[in-house]
Amino acid sequence: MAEDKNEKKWYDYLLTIKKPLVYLGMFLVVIIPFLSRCKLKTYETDLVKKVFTRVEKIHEYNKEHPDSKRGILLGFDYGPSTTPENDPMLYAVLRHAFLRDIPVVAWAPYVAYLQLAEGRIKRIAKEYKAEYGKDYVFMGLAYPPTPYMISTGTDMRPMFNTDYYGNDVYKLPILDRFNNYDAFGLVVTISGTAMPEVWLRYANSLYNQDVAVATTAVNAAKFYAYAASGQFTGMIAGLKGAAEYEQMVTRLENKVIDEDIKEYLTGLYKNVDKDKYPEKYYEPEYTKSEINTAILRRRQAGRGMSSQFGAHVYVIILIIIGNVGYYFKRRDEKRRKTGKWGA
Amino acid sequence: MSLWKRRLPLICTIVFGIMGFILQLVPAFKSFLDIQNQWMTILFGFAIVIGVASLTKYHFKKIRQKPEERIFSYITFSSLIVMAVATLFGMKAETGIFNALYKNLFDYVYVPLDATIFSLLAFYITSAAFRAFKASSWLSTLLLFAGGIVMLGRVAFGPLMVFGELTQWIMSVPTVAAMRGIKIGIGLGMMATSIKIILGIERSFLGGE
Repeated sequence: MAEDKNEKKWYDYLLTIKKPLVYLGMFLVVIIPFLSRCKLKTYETDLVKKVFTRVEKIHEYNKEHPDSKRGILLGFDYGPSTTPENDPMLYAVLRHAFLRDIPVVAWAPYVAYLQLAEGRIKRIAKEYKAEYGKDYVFMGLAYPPTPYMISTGTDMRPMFNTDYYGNDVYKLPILDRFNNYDAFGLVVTISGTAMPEVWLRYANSLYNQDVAVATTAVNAAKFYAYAASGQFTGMIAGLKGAAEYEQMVTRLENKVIDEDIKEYLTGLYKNVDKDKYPEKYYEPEYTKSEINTAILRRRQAGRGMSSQFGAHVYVIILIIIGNVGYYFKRRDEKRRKTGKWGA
Repeated sequence: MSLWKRRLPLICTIVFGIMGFILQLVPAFKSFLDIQNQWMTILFGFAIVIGVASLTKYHFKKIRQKPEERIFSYITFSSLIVMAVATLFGMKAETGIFNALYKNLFDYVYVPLDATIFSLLAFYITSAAFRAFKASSWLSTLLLFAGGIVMLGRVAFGPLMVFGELTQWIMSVPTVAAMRGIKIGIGLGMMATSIKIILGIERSFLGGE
């Protein structure tokens, strides 16, 4: 009997798989699909479609009212920790806005986000020949965010004085019109934190401003209630949401640009007045590696989805293994206690 | 009751708390909102100074009292000073040694560190799910099935699409119902606490009484 108790059963092996092995498995299922550049096509959900449609409506409005255009106010509310999920969302939303010639005003609420925001916004602006100060502007730090959100109800400029690059906010043409919520058709908060709730509390509740949220999957559960009630115009949730929006924008881009993206980017700055694009904001030319990166960026979320598929399936398999082992172990223990062992 | 430590902060809280309400609710005072907003920015600036002072005090104390752990405090101090100097002189400059130092510290130290710490979660969650996610009661079994469906549903395609539809239902019906309950509870709690603080009933923020 004592021998029986000490003998390691098959389920004990299942339940004691070493941590390093579990970690190695996770590493492989994430890295292999990512490096092999697999792209997973995903189904599109209503919440993401709502954000896309809202941006399209702004475009329609701008076409009908060219003298009183509406823009997008972008809250860059994430840091390095959530870039794999939030970056594709930002890229897709900015691509959509620039593709549709919708003015973009952006800011970041914390110092740690500033450099990330600046680099990423100018990267996408460059792909569509967006002019700084006319088509888009990066206001820089909006800390603490609450007073900046409230002051945008009247005029955001006195709170900033200068933009990120030190330009006088009263000398930037885009800010002559796009300085308060009346001029914005939508606020998009791209976040890995609880910042969307702050936007909701001030921009939406106080000023009736439409707010769309793009957030990590972990945070998304908190925001479904607001999206269901219509307080959020729509929601891009997690890498899957990013992949959905990426798909929609790529479809639109193929329709609008109607040219191979490599050729489009190669010829983008060939016959343009380069004085319109000061190097301070971005260099108006493309190298081969930049073009390749820009092409890869267009399927970043789709590529991430294949890794996510591997990771989710792997976790499910591990849970099943753990539960099979647990079930048989518990059954044997019960039998041992009731004396029915071997009966 | 000392004037500086208790009475004055309490008076400020009551006055500015009530003023916050009035500025939002009475249309005639809306124009003062911009002034209030600018004051808030200045106050938050002071909060950073207090934060740095508090961190410095804590680590000085630790260096004196726990010599075996002083290395961590030295690392904290040197990181704080180097990053502060580099940011102060390098963030807005276009070239120069401080700009290069700031950019390198940000791009090659801060960004990878932050991303690495967060990505470790994937490994810990996998290990934790394997060890702890067990069907030991009907509630945990329910959680297990819901979790499995959502995990598959988030990456569903082709024949797995049934999980996609189930996921959408789980996220938009039971999740919303539970979250609304939690949110309403939190909201009521926040309101009650705010009123107690503004009226001077709750004074623990002054150091406890």
